[in-house]
Amino acid sequence: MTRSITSNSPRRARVMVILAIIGPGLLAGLSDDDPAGITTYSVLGAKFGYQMLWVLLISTVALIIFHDLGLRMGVVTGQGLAGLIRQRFGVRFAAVGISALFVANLGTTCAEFAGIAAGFELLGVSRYVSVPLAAAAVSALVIKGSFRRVQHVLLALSVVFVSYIIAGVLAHPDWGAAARGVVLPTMPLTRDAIVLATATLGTTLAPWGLSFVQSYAVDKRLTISDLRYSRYDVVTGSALTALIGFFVVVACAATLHASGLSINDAADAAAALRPLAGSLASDLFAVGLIGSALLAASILPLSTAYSVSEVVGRPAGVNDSRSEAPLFYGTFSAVIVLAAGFVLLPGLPLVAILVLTQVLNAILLLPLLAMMAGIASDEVLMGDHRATKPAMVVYGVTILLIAVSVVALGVFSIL
Amino acid sequence: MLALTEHLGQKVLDAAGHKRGRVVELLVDMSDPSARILRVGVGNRSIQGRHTVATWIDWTDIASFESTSVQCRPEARFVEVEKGTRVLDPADNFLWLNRDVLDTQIINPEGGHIVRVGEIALVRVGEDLQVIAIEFGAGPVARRLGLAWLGERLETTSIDWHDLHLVSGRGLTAQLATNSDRYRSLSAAELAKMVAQISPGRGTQLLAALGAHQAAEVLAVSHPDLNAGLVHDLPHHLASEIISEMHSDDAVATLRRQHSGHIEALLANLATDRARELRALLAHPPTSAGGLMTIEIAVANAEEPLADICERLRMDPTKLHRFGGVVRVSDDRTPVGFLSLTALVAQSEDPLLSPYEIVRADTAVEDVISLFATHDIFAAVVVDETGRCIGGINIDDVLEELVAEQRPGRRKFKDLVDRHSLGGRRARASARHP
Repeated sequence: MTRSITSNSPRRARVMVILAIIGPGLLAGLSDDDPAGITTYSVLGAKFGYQMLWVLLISTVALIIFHDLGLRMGVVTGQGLAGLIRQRFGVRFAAVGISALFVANLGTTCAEFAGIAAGFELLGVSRYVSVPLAAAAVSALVIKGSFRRVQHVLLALSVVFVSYIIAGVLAHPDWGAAARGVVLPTMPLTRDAIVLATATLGTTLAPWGLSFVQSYAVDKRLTISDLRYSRYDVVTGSALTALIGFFVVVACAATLHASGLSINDAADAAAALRPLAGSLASDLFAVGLIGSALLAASILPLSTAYSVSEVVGRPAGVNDSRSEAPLFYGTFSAVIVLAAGFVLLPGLPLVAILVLTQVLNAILLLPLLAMMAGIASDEVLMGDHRATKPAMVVYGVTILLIAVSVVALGVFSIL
Repeated sequence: MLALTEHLGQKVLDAAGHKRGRVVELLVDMSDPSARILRVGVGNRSIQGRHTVATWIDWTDIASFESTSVQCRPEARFVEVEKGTRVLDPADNFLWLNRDVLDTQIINPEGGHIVRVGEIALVRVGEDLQVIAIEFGAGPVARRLGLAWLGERLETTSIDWHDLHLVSGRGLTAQLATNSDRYRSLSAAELAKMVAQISPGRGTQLLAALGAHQAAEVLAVSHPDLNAGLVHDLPHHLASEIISEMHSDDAVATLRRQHSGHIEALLANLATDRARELRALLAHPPTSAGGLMTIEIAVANAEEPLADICERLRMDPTKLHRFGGVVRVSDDRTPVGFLSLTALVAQSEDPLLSPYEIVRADTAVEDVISLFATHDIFAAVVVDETGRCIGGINIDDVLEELVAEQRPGRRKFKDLVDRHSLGGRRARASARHP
């Protein structure tokens, strides 16, 4: 890990260590607030007002549990999730898993570029300008930049999420109702409510986020002694994810729900906010959409490149040069080019692709979580850091909860 | 030649022809130079139980070992693994080929990158079955996925079993315990590259096994940021031993990246003089000439004849390694001249052969770099606020600073290591520690 922390004060030294290790949890968490996530939160707020804010609390707990586990697995084993799956479960599982992950990540990256296109179109910029530029910027950042520079830019990009908080405040929400919505778990027992609750859980905990947090921790060279501080990183990232989700729900609840308006996606929400909360709130929402899509459009191809390289057993690191890690950079570039290209193709059924991607992510999530739990309890791989029995119970309960949600989502989507 | 993965999962039959399970493991003793298979692990292959061995059979109890089935002798003894038995015994030297080697990470000797084992090659030698090599690359992966036609066309690379460097947890531990010479025989540059790629935990494990002297040589050619993490995680006494073995400027670069409490803990274990010297160096800001300089410079009195200096250096040429020249000083250690390598070889005190400048320790690094660029010098003598010589900066230090500035975060000069194998540095290190 990179650090330069000489300091005379132990407290200051501790703060500097935390600042030095921050990154994997924060970026993996915040990138979950991508356009698909913002869309889910927007629809949740527009349809059910403040009532179902408590779902965010549950998804945040699940996010903390599994991102923390992923980070710990990466630090202890020095390997990414895909590599560990090959070592622990064999090359066939790894090959099937990585193929599905590649397709799912490609589809999700399409969603991110579609979010960039939609966000810029709200500001009057054509997608034929914004998408190629965004793809070029993201590629240049990772291919040309060092690990440190990439992290700094991505963290700087995360600042854009503040726009959602401001947009939420500008919407003049009913804070009392919002607080009740967080702590009182109630919901109408309707198909829409169950689907949205499940979608909120699913959009927060994504397969690519899980593989990213682990691989990135390995690439950052975090050490065992960093683990106790890295929890701050994971908790901060997850809490910020929830906070942003909270403000998106609140903004839509105070405006769209109160006016009885319905929306289909985050871009609709941004447009609909204009007459209700003013043009500043609407523009901030659009800027947030672009920023969140850019962040996720950087992280998704990275996550894919890490995973593919780990399974094949090739060098995978942002600090490696292109000649040292051709598969890593080749995969990264392929995902960017294909995703940006698909979004620009006229007549492509983008909505169908996005729906299929969500389904694939949901299908992938459960076996991935189960394999993570299996690796976590493996003495050979985790040594003294293997999961304790109480921890395994927590993982099991969380997986069960997600399984019930995914099944419910499947059943209600079909009905 | 046999492929391990073709035998994993095959039925194990007792003498009566009853199925006793499937082959899930082969066991080899790392300390055995012939790498003979000692036991066969039998179990039921499942997702959770990929590595679960229910019973062990000695290899001598195997009558036939084919890719269709494994037949045991009538007297074969199936030793059951008791439930609750520890999966890992840190004291044993045994490797489970499926669990500890197949699909785990190793170092590719060609280029020094981490790769994953795709196949393990076995060979029959008389009654024995021996491990002879491992394979990696896309070829063995495709073959294991049932795509034999593709596997034949894709890259497959083999490494002799005796040239193998395992870097996954159990493999590294077993190999370090039984055959650490395999790692010790690598050059400092090769080890540095290995340490830069494996997890920090395994890196410290490897450094500890190498010993303080060789570990210091490895850290001398590694990035200070990487060193900082490794030194931080090593036990204090071992970290101090390594710091003690390092050149002062490398040691300082590593210490600067620790927090103050840890620095004190490390320095407390060093000899008093060495600790004092490092404290004095640490007092200089890293962005100043004092932070960039080396204190390991050769000095000569202003009156000392050139021939005597040359003779002295011939007896101990290591004095020239860090700085590449000799500073002439007066009795109060004020610099009065400089002798470059050219001057020493030519045995001439012509100032044109030894251009140099004097800089104060608090001079900014940027100004030092400008000085080298504009004055065409190869060395600068560093003085304290009273004008006493306290160290020197040579062109190598300036180049390192420039490369580090241009490529922040890159693993230090990895490209240069790859291209030149750091021959010069290695030669220096081995000359210093014969």
